[in-house]
Amino acid sequence: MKSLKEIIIQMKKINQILIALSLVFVFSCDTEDLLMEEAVSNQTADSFFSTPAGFEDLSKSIYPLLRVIIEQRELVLNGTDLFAGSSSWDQSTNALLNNRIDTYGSELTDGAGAISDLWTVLYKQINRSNILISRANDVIDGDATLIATRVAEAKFMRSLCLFWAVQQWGDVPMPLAETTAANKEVTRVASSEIYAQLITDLTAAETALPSTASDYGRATKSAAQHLLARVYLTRGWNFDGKLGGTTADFTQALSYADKVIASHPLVTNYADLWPKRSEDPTNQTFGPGDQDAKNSEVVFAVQYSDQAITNALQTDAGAVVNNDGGNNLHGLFGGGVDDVPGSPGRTSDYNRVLGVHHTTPAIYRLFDPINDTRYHHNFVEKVYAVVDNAGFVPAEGVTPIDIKSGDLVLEFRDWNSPAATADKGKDVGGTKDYAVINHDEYGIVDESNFHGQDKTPMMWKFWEPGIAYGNGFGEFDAVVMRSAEAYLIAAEAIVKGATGGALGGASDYYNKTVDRAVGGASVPANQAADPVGTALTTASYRATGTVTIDMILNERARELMGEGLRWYDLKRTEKLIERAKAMNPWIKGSNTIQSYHLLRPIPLTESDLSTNEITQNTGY
Amino acid sequence: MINLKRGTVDPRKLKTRTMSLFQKGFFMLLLLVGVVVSAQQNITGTITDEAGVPLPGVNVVIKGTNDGVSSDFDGNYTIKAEADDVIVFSFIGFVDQEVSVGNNSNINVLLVASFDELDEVIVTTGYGQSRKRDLTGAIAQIRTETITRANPLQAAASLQGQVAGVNITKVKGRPGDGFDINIRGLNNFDADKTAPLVVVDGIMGANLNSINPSDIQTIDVLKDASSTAVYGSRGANGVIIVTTKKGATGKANVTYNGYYGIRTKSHMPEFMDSKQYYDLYSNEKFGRGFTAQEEYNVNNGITTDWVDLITQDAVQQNHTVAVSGGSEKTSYNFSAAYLEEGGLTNHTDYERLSLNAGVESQISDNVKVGFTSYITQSDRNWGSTEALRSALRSRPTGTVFFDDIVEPNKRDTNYGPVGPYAFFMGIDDSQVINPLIEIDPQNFQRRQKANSILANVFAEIKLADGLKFKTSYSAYETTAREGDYRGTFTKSQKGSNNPKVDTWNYKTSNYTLDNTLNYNKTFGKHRIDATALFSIFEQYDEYMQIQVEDLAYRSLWHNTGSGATIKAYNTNLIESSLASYMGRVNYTFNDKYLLTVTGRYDGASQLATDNKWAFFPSAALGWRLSEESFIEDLDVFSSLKLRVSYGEVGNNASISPYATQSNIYQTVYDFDGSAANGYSINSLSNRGLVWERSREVNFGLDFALKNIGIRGSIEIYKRNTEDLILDDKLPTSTGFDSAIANVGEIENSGVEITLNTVNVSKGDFKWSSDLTFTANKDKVIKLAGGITEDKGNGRFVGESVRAYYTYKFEGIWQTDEATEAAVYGQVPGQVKLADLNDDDKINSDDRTIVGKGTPDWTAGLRNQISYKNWDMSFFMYTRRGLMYSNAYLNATYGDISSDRYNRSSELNYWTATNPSNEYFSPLTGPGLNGNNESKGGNTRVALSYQMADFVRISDITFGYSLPQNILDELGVSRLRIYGQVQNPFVFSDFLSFDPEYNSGGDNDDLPAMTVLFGVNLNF
Repeated sequence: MKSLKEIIIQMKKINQILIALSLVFVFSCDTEDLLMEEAVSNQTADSFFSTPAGFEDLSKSIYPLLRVIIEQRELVLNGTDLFAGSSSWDQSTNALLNNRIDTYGSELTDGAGAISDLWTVLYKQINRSNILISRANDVIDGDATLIATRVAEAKFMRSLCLFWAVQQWGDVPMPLAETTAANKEVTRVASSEIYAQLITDLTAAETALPSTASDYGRATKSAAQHLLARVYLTRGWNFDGKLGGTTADFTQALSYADKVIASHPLVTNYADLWPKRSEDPTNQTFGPGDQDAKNSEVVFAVQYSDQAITNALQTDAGAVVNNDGGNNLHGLFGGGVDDVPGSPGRTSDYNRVLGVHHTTPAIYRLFDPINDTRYHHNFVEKVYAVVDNAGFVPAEGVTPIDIKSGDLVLEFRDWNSPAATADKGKDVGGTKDYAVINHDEYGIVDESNFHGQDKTPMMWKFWEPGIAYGNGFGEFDAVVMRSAEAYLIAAEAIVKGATGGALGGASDYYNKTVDRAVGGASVPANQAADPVGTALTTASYRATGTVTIDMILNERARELMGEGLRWYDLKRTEKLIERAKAMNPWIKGSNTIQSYHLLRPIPLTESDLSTNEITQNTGY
Repeated sequence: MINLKRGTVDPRKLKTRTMSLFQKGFFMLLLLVGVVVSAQQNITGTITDEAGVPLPGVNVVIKGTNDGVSSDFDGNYTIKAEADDVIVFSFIGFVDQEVSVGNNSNINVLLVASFDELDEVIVTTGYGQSRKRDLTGAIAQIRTETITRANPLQAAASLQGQVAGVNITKVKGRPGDGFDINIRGLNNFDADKTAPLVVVDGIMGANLNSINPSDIQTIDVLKDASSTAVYGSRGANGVIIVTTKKGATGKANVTYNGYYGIRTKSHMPEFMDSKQYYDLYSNEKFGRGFTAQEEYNVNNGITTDWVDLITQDAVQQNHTVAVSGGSEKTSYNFSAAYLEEGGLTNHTDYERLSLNAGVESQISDNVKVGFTSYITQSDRNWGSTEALRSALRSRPTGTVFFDDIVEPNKRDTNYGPVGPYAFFMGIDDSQVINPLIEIDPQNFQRRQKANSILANVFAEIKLADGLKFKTSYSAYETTAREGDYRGTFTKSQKGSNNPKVDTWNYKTSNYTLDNTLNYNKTFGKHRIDATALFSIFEQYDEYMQIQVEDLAYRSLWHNTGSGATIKAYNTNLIESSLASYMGRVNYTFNDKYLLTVTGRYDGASQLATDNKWAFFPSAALGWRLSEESFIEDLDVFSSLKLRVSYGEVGNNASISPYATQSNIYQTVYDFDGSAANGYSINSLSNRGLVWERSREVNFGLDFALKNIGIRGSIEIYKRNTEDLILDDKLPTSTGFDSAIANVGEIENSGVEITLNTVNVSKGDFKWSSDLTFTANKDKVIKLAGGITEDKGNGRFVGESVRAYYTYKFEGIWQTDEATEAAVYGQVPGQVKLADLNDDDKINSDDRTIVGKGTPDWTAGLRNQISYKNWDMSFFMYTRRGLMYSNAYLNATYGDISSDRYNRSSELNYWTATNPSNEYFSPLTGPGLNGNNESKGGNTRVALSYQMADFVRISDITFGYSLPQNILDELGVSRLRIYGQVQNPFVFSDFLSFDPEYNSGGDNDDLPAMTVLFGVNLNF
C-alpha cells in the first residue's frame, strides 16, 4: 500500500515531468528565429545597391583601386630607356646581377610578383566597374540620367584597365559583367576584339559623360576623349598586326586629341603642375597644399587627400589602412641623401628615396639643363646639410670642415658643364667644401666621406614638402592624363598619317610643350647631340621641319617623365628594344631583351588556378 | 572485482557489485557530492595506501544504497551507518574493499593498488559520463596528476605526447602564446579550421589557455566520430572536454601547488662573430662595405652579441591555493592562482590570475543545484615586437654605446646619441636601428589586458527512479584590450616621425543552454543509459579599433584623442547561433555487450535557409571479451575489450558567419577634399554551401595482461571528410581572390597505440612507463569539379593535405659541373634544381611535390620511477616524417650571399675547397634568385625544404615526499618537494631555433630550458 505521502511524492514527480517536458517544448520552439542570420555591421549587396543612395556609394567604389593600380610602376617605368631598377651602371654587364625583371632577365617569368600584382588589381577594378554596370538596371526609383552617367564612368574605368591589360599581355580575359559565380575557367579574348570593345564603351561613355563632373575626380567627357585618343593611336600602330588597326585610327586619335586640347588649355608654367617646394630644405617655405593639384591642364588624376583616413591605400575588404597610404610618387626614385654629412637620416627634410626607379644617364642629356625648366624641376642639383656636422673630415689627411645646417654638401653638375678636378670637392683633391659629381660619374661614382657610391641626383619631380617621412603619405593628386600628352598624341598621329589637325602639322603640336618649358619659341632648347655618349656637342630639340617618332619619344621623356606611360609608349611605337638597349645600361649589359618581351607572361597564379589550360605567351 | 572468475561469483553478489560500480560512477558524476542518508551512527576512519599515504577522494558507500561520502585530503572520512551495514571503499586504481560495520565506530582501511582498476575511470563523454570499461568510442583521458606533473604553462601543452592521436604545436614563443591542437590529422586544408571543440565544464568554445592547469581535474579527448557525434556539427575535429576540480564533502581541505623556475635560452643556433663576419663580407664582391668603426671593432676583437643584450633569463612561476570542503548536502571549492611567464626578450612577460569558485547543493531529495564561475585576468606584455628581429639581424660589428664609437661616420654624428646608445650602431645602414633603443618600453610597447569569465548554473531534478532532468545555463565572456605604441625612436617611426598608437578592443560572449533528460536503469542483465538534449548556443563577437598618429607625448593607448592624425577607426559585430537536438542511448547487456547509438540534429545560422539543418548519426558496439569464458580460459587477459564504431560529424568552425551572403564593405577615397567613401562587394556569396561532413570508422582494442604489468589500447580509424568548406582561391581575372566553397574530400587514416606498463615493482621500488604512438596518413581523395590537381590552391588528389608543390633541390653545382650549370645561367656554388622535363631551363613546369607538412608518426614515452619517498620521471617525445620549409634558413640568417645583416655561422656553405652539397656559396648566391615563385621561389627557398625530425627530452623531474612522521609533526597531510628541468635536450638535424616549431625567431621564439622547483602541499 502506498502511503498518502508516497502518492503526493508520485504526483509531484509527474508534475516535474510535465514541467520538464514543457520546458523542453518551450525552448525548442523558436529555432527559426534563433538561426536567422542578419548582419548588423553589414548590408547585403542586393539590398543596398538597389537603392539610389546605395548605387551612388557603389559608384564611388570604382575609383579607390586606381591608387593601387598606378603604384604598380615596375612594369611601366623600369625596363625602358628612362628608368632602371638599379644604378651602378659600371656593373651593368655583370651576368650574375643581370637576371632581373627590368633587364628582361631570367626572373621575368610567369611567377614574377610584379606581373601578378598588376594583373590582379586591374581585374579587381574591372570587376568593380562591372558590378556597377550589372546592377544599374536594378536601382529602384533612381535618377535615370545620373545612373547613365555612373554607368559611363564605369565603362571608362573598365576601359582604362582593360587597355592597360591588353597592352601588357595581349589577349586577355574580358569580363563585361559582374562575377557572380566562382568560375575557374579563364578565357583569353583576341586583342582586336578587346580594342573594338574599348572603342564601343568609350564612345558610349564620351556621349554620356558630362564635361564637368559632379565631383572633381570623377571621369569626364574629356577623360573619355583622351583615352579614346590613346586607344586609337595604339590600335593604329597595330602591334604585331593583331589589334585590328588601320591608318584611319590615327585620324580618330588626332580628332580626339584636338577635343582634349580645346577643353584643357596648358598651364603657363610646367612647375605649376607639381607641388611647390624649395630646393634647400633648411629654407623650406612651402608646405602641402601650397599648390592646388587642380588646374586646366589635368584631364584625369588619381585623387589624394590631406586627411589620413581618406588617403588610405586600400587593396581589399577590411584592410582600411595599408602601408602608409597616400601618394608614394615622391619617394620612389633614386639618389638618396641620407648618407651625406649633415643629414640626420630618416627625416622628411628630403623624404624617402627608395630607389625603385633610377634615372638612366641618357635622360639628363635629353634636356637643355640651362633653359629647360623641366630639368631644374625634375632633378636635385644641390644637396644641403640639414643639421650641423662639426669637424667633418672630407678625406683622410684633409683639414676638417665645420659643416653648418644649410651648407651645400653635394652638387651634381649639368651634363654640359663638368667641373675640373680643382673645382671638385676636397674629398677627391679639389678645393670645394662640398662634393661635386660630374654627369659621367652619375650612378658609378665611388664612395667618399661626402656620399655613398653610385650616387645620382634625386628625381624629385613629384617631391612634396612637409609630409611625414615614409613610403607614402603624399597628398598631391597623381595625374593620369593631362592635355600636354594630347599635343604629343596629335603630333604622333600626324606623323603616322592623320589629317585634319586643328593646330596644323606635327611640329605645331610638338613645339607647344617644348616652348612652354623653355619659356618661348625664341629660347634655345639644346640636348646632347648623342644622348648615349659623353660628348658635349648639342642639338636643338625644337622641331623645325620633319618630326620623327624619336623626337616625340624624347619630348615625351622630358615632359611626361614618371607619369606611368613610358613602357606603353615605347611598345606602341616599336622602339622599346632599340631605345632601351641604347640608353639603359643594364638592358644593354644583359642584352637579353627580345621581341617576345613586348608581351608579358600570363601570371602563374592565374594559370595555376584555372581549370582549363591557358596558352602562355610565346617565349615564357 | 573485474577479474573475478566465473563460477566463483555469486550472481546476486555480481549484480550488487555492478550496482555499486554504477553508484561509484554516479558519485563521480555528482562530483563527489554527498547524498542524504538516514543514519544511526557516525563511523570515522582513515584510508591509506600500502605505503601508508593517505588517500583522498575515496568513495565510501553503504553497500546496496546510494548513500556515500568521499575521503578528504588526509584520507579521513565520516559516514553514518548501521551495525549491519557493509561499507564499500572504492577508489580508482585500487581494489575495492568491503567492511562490515558491526560495533566499530572507527574503521581504518588500507587499499591495495590494482592495475586493472583503470577500467573504472570515469570518463566524460559529453552531456554525461561513463566508466572507461563501458566506452564504445575512442576517448582518452589525462588526469590532474599528469597535468601538474609536467607543470605546463598552458593546459594544452600537457596533452603533448600524452594522448595518442593528439598533435600539439606551439604557435609562437611569446609569453602567453597558446598552442595549435589537432586531433587525428588535418581534416581541412585550412589550419584555422582544424581546431577541436573545447568544452570547459560544459561550456562550448571556451579558451583552453584561460584555465590554470592546476585547476583541471581531467581532460578527456574525444577522438572518433562516434564519440564526438554528441556534439554533431561541432565534432569533426575532435572534442576536448575539460573538467575543473570540484569540492568534496568533509572538512575543509587546503592545498597549495606551486613552483618557481628560471627559463634560460639554450639550444640556440650560432651566429657569426665580428671576425667571422668581417672575414667573409670584407670581400670586394659585397658592396656594402664596413665603416671605420666596424673595422676598429673587428681589429680590437669586439663582437656585439645583440641578442644577448636584449634577452634575459626569465621567471616562470605558478602558485595555486585551493580550498574545498562541504557539509553533507553542500560542497564548495575555491581556488586562486597566479602565473607569471617571463619573456626571454627583455620587457616582455605574461601574468595570469585565475579565481575559481563553485558550490553545489542537494537542496531537496530530488533537486540538486550548482553554480561555478571561473574568472581569469591576464596581462600580456609583448614589449617591442621589432627588437628581437633587429637584434637577430644587426651586424656583430656594430657598437652599442655612442661613447664607444671612436671612428664616427656621418650617419652617427648627424643623428647623435639616443640616450647612451648609438642610433645606427656605427654601421652604414639606416634600415635597422639599435635594438636596445627599439626595445626600451619608453619607445615601444605592445600590451594586451584580457579578462574572461566562465560561469555555469544548473539544476538537476530527479523525476523518477533513474530519470533526471537537468537544465544548465553557461555563459562565457572574454574581453581584451590591446595597444601598440611606437615612439619616435623605433624602426617604424624612423627616429623622426611622431609617436603613433593603435588600439583594439575585442569582446566575445556566448551562452549555452542545455536541457537534458537522462534515464538510467538496470533491468536484470540489461542496462540502459539514455540521454536526450535540447541545446541552443549563441555567440557574439565585437571589435573596435582606433589608430592615430602624431601623439603629442607618450600617452600609450590611453589618450588617442591627443593624436593629431586619425589613421583608422572601426567597429564590427559578428553573430552566430546553433540549435541542437541530440539523443543518445547506451545499452549494456550482461556487462559484456555494449551498444551506443547517437543522433544529433543541428541547425546553424551561418548557412542559407535550405541548408541550415543537418543530422549527424553514430553507432558503436563494444564487446568485453574478457567476460567470455574462452578468453578467461586463456588466463592471459585481465581485461579485453573490442570496439567498433561509425559516426558522422560536421565542422561548424569551417563556416564563417555571413559566408552565404554577398556583403558589402566600405572603400575610401577623396573627391577634391571631401571624403568619397563608397561601397563595394566584399566577397562572392555562395548560397549553395552545405555542411562539411566527416564519416569515421574506428576499431578499438583495450587490453590488460594478467601478471605482467601491461595494459593498453589500440585504435585504428579511417575518417573521410567530404564537402570541405574552404576559401577556394580563384583566378583573379574574376575580380575576386577567393570564394568560399565546398571543395573536396580528405581522408585521414591511422593507428594509435597507448601502452602503460609496470616494468618493475619490487618492494619500495617501482618503475612504470606510458607510451603513446600515433601514425596518421592524410590524403586528398577528390576535388570539386572532378579535377585531380589544383596547383594554385596546392591541392592534389592522392597527396597529403599539406603537400609542398615546388622545385626540387638537387644539391649545389660543383666545379666540374660548370658547363652544365651554365645551361641554366648558373655557376658552381649555386643551388641546383631538378630540371624535371629536361628542357634545359627551370620554370614552373619543373615543380613537383617534394614533401609534406604532416608527420608520419609521433611517439611519447614517460618513465616514472619511485623508491621509498623518492620519485623521478622523464618524458621523451619524437616526431617523424614532417617536412618544413625551414623558416630559419629563409630568414635573413640564411641569406649568406648578402652582407647587410648578421648570418648564421652554422651553414655548411660551398667553396671551391669545400664542395658542400648543402648550402650555396656566399660569393655566388643561390642563383635564380629573387621574389619569383616560378623560379623556385628563389633557389634559396627550394633548399630549405628539409625534414624536421627530432627527439626531445621534454622534462626530467625529481621529487621527494616527506615521510609520515615528519608530516605529523608539521601538521600537514602531504608535502612533496621537487625539482624539474624542462626541455633539457633536443636531438635533430634541422638547423633552426627549434625543430618542432618552424620559426624565423621574430616572435620571441628563442629556444629555452627551464629549471624549476616546486612544492605540493596538502593540509
